[in-house]
Amino acid sequence: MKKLMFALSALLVLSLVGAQDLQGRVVTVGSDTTYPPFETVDEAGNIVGFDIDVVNAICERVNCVAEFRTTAWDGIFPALAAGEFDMVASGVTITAERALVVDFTEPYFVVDQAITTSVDNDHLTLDDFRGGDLTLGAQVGTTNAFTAEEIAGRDNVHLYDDFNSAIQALLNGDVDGVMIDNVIADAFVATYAGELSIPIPSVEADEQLGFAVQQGDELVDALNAGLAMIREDGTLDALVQKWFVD
Amino acid sequence: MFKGIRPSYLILLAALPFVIYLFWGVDDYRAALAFIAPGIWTTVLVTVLAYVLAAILGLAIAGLLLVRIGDNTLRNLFVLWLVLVAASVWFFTRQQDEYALIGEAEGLVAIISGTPSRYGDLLQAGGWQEDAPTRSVRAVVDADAAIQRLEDGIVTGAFVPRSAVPAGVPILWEARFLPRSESLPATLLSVLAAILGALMFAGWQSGKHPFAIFAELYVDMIRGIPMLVIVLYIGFPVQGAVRELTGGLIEPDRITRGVIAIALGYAAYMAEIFRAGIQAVAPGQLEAARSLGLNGMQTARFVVLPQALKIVIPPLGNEFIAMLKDTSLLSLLSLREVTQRSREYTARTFEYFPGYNTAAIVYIGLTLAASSALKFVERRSDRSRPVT
Repeated sequence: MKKLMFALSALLVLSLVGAQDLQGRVVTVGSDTTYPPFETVDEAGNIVGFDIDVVNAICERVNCVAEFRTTAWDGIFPALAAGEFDMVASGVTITAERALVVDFTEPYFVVDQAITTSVDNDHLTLDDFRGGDLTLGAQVGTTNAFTAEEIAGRDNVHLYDDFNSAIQALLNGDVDGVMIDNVIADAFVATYAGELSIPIPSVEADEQLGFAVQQGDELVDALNAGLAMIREDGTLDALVQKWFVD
Repeated sequence: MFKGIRPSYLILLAALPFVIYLFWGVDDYRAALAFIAPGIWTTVLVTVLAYVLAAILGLAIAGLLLVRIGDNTLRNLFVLWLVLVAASVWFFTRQQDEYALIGEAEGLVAIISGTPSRYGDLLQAGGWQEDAPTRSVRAVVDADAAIQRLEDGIVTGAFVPRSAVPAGVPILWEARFLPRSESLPATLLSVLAAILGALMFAGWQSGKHPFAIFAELYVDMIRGIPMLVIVLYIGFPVQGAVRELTGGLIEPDRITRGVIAIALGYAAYMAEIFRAGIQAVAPGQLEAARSLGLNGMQTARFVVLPQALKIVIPPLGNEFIAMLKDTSLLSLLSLREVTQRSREYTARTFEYFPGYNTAAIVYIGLTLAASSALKFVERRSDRSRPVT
């Protein structure tokens, strides 16, 4: 029975590959490359990160060539809808509001949100931020921004172009904390060694990340098939290990 | 009946009922305007404050441009230069901090707040010793907390001041560096001394006052920097440096910083306008004023400024309109003016056209109001033009 199941699932995967062969097509990917370790630009000018590796692994399975393009987060979804690129891979949380504008793949990663502070404020708790005296920073238009507004209130939230600016504002003392995905917080704490701390590692937000495509685009089926394959054969786990654990 | 009104204004006038209908009857636009409207106050406030500051700075720079070198100028400045050099040397030769790495050579290492970032990077990359492994860092408040974490086994190493290391604990590696409270003023003073030295040399060579050369340099440099870069520069790194230099004493909020950034940028343009206005007064008039027995102040007050001001009013008004639009750059500092609010609105609702159309209409309304006010001022100053 088990063997039969295996054979059947193998057949299913094979048939999907048959159906989902993109025949070497170039897929352009929009990404806000200021978001370590999901996507950043390295010293040589190459776009690197977890999302890049995942998309490339998927493309390997469904026979496409991913071409990444740096774009601003602000307006990334209308740009996708307008056809400026074929998909968005930018650590995007799947939300109902965004799903009205674009289509999402199955989730490929789950993150939580955390609050980063300067090391001097290491003692702060979530209730301190709920108190209404402390300010939170975040990137405009992110789910972090919406969570921050829920916790600290709209007038206590300062929104920036990207998380780099939000972290600069934190270091300058403009905000008391930055609401940010937990894995990104770790990356920034490593970058600003000795200055930042994560007193609130979880605000218990279950954030499912997915890739976005234009509404009704059949590319989503190929991406889902590729995603299923890299999840099956352990590639995805290996990439998670590479970018978030090691 | 519409003669004398610009044709493009007629079209805008005709579009007015449509705009009113849009914000009255269309839900998306009404919601967008309700969200963005509070930002109009911020935009206007920042523009007016920045304009006043830029005008004062611009006038001061224009004044500097016209300063003539005196007999003792270079000697006095040389004394100032010596003081700067001495102060910088004093700071550079202060006691260095001694830091020591204790614990194990690998695993998580505690770093106390205020440690120069290059040492944090060095410890992470393993560059402090050949073949040292890379390791992660954990920031803590002070040396006591670091040693406590080390004893509790939360971290395997700590990088702390030498004096805080408990007796008998082996030291893996030592580093000495000037603390930031001394290295920052030392660097700043030496840069100031270098600039002053260069200005003095240029003044000695050219016979111009070093301050006039500085004003020239300021205008040339600032006009070469995009306003966006000035805003980012004043908004983020300069703020951090000022905060550290003054020990947190001077900590301008975001509005103040935004106003200063815009004003610093526009002061250069304003200075050029003022200079052009002053120089447009015919030299013969100055000679006439002197022959009538007016002194320098009186010449400026009664002869130069009344004429110069009339010349500079139109270009100064244009600067106001340009500044009104450039305050949109302050959205990068998370200042909630019109642009930032429209970005917040569109990011939340995905209503991109209503959001940015509303912002555009608000800006058109503001600039039209400003240019009408400007026309009024121009007409008034024209009427009072003396018969020549």
